[in-house]
Amino acid sequence: MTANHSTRRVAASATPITDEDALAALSQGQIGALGLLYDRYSGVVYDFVRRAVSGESDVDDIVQATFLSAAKTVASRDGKQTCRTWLVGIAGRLLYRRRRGLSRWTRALRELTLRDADKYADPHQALSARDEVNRLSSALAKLSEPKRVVLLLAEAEEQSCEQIARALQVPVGTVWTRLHHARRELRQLLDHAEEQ
Amino acid sequence: MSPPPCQRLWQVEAARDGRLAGSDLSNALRHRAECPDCARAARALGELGQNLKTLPVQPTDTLQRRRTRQALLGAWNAHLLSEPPSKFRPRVALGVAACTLAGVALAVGYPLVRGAAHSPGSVGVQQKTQPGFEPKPPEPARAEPSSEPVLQLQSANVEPNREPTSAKPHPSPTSATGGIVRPERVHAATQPPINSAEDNAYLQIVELLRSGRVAEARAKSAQYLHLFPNGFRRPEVEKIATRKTPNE
Repeated sequence: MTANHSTRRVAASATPITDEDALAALSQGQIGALGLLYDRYSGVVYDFVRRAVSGESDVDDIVQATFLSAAKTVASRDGKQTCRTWLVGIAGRLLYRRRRGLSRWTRALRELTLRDADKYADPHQALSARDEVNRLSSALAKLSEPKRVVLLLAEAEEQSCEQIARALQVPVGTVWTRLHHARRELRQLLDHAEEQ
Repeated sequence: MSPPPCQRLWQVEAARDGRLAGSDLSNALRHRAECPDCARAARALGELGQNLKTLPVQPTDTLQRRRTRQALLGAWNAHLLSEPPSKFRPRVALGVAACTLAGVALAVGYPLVRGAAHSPGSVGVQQKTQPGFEPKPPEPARAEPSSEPVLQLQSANVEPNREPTSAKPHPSPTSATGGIVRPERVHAATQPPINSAEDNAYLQIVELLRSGRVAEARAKSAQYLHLFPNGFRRPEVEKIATRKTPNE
């Protein structure tokens, strides 16, 4: 009896906590559940945000805001989404909203910065810039934030347009349009970089 | 001179984004397998997606991640502490709303139904449509409840408009006159009337004793014992009846 009980206890403690369990605990305000989700998905969210903000310094703030927003809105989460999709969608929404008002100014500043960087780049950087990956990074950085977020959610995170629309709280037609323009601009930027 | 690009190139991107479905999607896929332009565009789109997926990012410092974790948990804790627990309980609110609604419906509906049932000349629609139906004449007005005490009526066992019935008390809380008999009154009717003659007789005996008229008191005591063989004061009265006068 005791042996069975202890075996059962060990088996129960050895059972990993699922995402759903953690989310249910988080909805009840348990702080440990938030730490668990952070440990599991902070890497994914960090990677997405780093790609989307292209080396800006407020990556940590955005990641923290993502998980904090997730904790506040966990009760209204759509159960069909996986935890990863949901968290990345929240990060995308934060980036999308953060930049929407200032997208024109930030794009102008970014273009100016990149142009100056190309102008005064040292030979080693110029040599490495010929690399395809760096070209893609530079081209991606020149996209506006909403387009970049939608493109990364669709291509890097492999989310469907409906999922992106739900995450960003925009019509799906907007997602299709932004995605199309993002690909076209990216292609033009890559072609332009190849010509240079 | 190069030939113009395929007019259905847009379908490649549309199919990838889920804008096409059903027969449109199958047609686009069939065309893509045959058209070199569309096949090239599809391949380029796939490569772009793959490159974006494998785009290297600057690795996150472990220490910085821990700091962010600490800050996150602190912020969440502060949020929990600053926000008072909500006292709103949906289930309780739903129950209260349902009870309120039921109460309002009862309060509004019951008088209407009752009024319709008691209104003179009110006849149901179904009854009216039945062939050969004749409305009943209105019943005579019920007798007003008598203002006389119920106790008196029941003790006398006489009803104003009816023949006398059996002597046992009426089992129904409503009296034969249609008036409502209150429970305390029914209780009072079943109890025997309070007879103060016994007390008066005893008090007279005591008065005679106090005034020193023992013989009269003894006579009264004998009278008491004769009238009230099961009287409350029988033990005392018996003592008085056997008391001797000072001369004896």
